[in-house]
Amino acid sequence: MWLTNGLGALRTITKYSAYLGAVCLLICVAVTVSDVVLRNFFTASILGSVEITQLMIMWAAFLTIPLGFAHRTHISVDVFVRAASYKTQRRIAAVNMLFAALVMAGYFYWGGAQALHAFINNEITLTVGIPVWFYWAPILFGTGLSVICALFVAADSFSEANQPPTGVRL
Amino acid sequence: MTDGMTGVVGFLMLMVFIGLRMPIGIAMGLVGGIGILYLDDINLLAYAIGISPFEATHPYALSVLPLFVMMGVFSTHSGISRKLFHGANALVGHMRGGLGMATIWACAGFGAICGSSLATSATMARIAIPEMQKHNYDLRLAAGAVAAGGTIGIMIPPSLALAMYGILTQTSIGSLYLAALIPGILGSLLYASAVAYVVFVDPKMGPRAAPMTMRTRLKALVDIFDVMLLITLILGGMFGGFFSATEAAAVGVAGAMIIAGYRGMLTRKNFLAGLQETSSTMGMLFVILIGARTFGFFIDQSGLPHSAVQYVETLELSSFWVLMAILAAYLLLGCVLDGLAMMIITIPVVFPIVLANGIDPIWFGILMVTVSEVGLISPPFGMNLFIVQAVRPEIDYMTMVRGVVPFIFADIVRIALLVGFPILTLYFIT
Repeated sequence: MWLTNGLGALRTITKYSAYLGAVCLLICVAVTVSDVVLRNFFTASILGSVEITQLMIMWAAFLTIPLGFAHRTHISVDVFVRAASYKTQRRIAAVNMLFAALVMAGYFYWGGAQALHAFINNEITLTVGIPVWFYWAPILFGTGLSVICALFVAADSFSEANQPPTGVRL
Repeated sequence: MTDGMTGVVGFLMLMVFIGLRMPIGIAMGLVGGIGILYLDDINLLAYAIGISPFEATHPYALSVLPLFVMMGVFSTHSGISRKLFHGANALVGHMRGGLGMATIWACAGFGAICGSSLATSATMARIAIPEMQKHNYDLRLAAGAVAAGGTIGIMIPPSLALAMYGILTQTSIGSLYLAALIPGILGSLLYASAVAYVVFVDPKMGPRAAPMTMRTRLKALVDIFDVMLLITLILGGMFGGFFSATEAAAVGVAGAMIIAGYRGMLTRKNFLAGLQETSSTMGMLFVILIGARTFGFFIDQSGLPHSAVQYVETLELSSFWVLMAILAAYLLLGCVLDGLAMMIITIPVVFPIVLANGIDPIWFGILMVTVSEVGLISPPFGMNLFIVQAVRPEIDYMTMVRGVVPFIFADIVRIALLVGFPILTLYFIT
C-alpha cells in the first residue's frame, strides 16, 4: 500500500516539476525572442541573455528528468527482453532501475561536491554575476528526486512481478 | 588488457546493457563509471561523474534541442499537419499515386517544423492512411509512404538529429542545416519518384483521386500560408544572418504558438498537453546527454579513438573506403538501434577516424543522418514501422515491410548520389 501511495505521490510531484521545467523553457523563449527583436529592430539587447538561457535550460532539464523515472519513459531498446516472461521482464526492469538509482546517486553525490565548491568560493558568471551554485541547484534537485523515483519504481517492479511491464519503450 | 581494449570491452558491455532494456542514458553512465574506475581511481571517477551533469546541460548551443522539441510539439497541436497534407494533395492528388506523393511532401513540410521522424510518422499515419484507404490505395503503398516520408523529418532543417551531431562534434549547426537543404529536397524527390515507380508498375496500387476545383485548390494552399511563413521565417532568419540556429528554435516556438493561437487550437488543454509532452521528451534527451558525457570521458581515457585511428591507418585504405566501411556499419547498426542513440554512442570513436582521413565533417554528418534515416525503416527493428503499426494496428508488419522496399531503394540511390557528388551537400557551404 505504502509503495503504491508513494509512487502515486512521486508521479504527481514529478508531473508538476516537469510543468515547471517547461515553464523555464518558455522563459527561455521569451528572453531569446526579445533579444532577437531588440537586436534587429532597436539596436539594443538583453544583458546576459546567454547566461539566463543557460540557467533556464539547466532548470528545465533537471526538473523534467525525474518524470521519466517515475513514469518509466526513459528511452530504452526493446529487442530481446520482450520475448521473456512477464516475471522476468519485471525483474530485469527492477534491476535496471536499481542501476539507474546508483548512477543518479553518483551524479547527486559527486555533483554535490562540485556545487559546494562553487558555493564556498562565491563563483559568479561573467556578464551579469549570477551565482554559479544557481546552476548546480537544479542538478542536485533533479538527480536527488530521480534516485527516489528509481528506487520506488524498482521496488514496484519487484513487488508486481506477475503483472505485464508498463511504460513506453522505444 | 590494454586501455584501448578496455574501451572495446566498454562498448560491448554497453550493448549488453542496452539489449537488456536498460535506459540508454543510464547504461552509458554506468559503463562509463565502471570503465573510469577500472582505468584509474575513485578520484577521477568522482571528478568525471561530478562534472558530467553540468557539462552536458550547460553549453548554450544545447538549448536548440529542447526548443525545437517544443516547437514540434506545439506545431503538432496546432493542426498544421492536416493542412499540409490537404495543401500537398491539392497540388498532386489528382495524379496516379498522387495521395502517396502528397504524403511525402506533407511529411517534408511537417518535418521542417517538427524535426522528429517518429512524430511525423505518427501524425501522418493518422491523417494520410485513412485518406488513401478511402481512395482504394494498396495498404503497402499507403503504409510505406507514411513510414518512409516520416524519415525526411530528420534531414529537412531544422533537424534534431543534425543539431545533436553539431553539438557532439562541435560542428556549426547553421552550416549543417544549410548543407541539409539539397539532400532533404533530393530525398523527398526520390521518395516521390518511388511512389511514381510503384504506380507505374501496378496502377491499381494508387488510383487517381477525383480532381479538385480550382477554388478548393486555392483554399487548401491559402490554408498553409501561415505554416510556409513560419518555415520561411526560421530558415530565412537563420541563413540570412538575423539570428543563430539556437535563436531560430526560440523564434520557432513563438511562431508555432502564435499559429496555434490564431487557429484557436491553443486551448488550456492543448497548452498543458504540449508542455507535458515537451518536458517528457526533454527529460529523455538530457539523461542520454549526461550519460554520453560520462561514457565519452571513459572512451577518451581509454585512448580507443587514438587506437582506432592507428588501426585504420595500418589498413592503408583510401578515405573513400574508410567512409564506405563506416556507412556500412551504420546501416547495420541502424537496423537495431535508434538513430540518435547510434550517433551518441559511436561519435567519440568514429569522428576522430573521420577527421584523420580528411573527410569533411559536414558532409559526413549529412551522410550519417541519411543512413540513420534508412535505419528507421529497415526491418526488423525500424522504429517508424512500429510507430505506423501502433497508430494503424490493422496494417500487419509484413505489409509494411513490403511497402517500404521501394523507399529503401530510393534511399540507397540518395546515399550513392551524396557520396558520389559531395557538392550536393557542400554547395551552399562552399
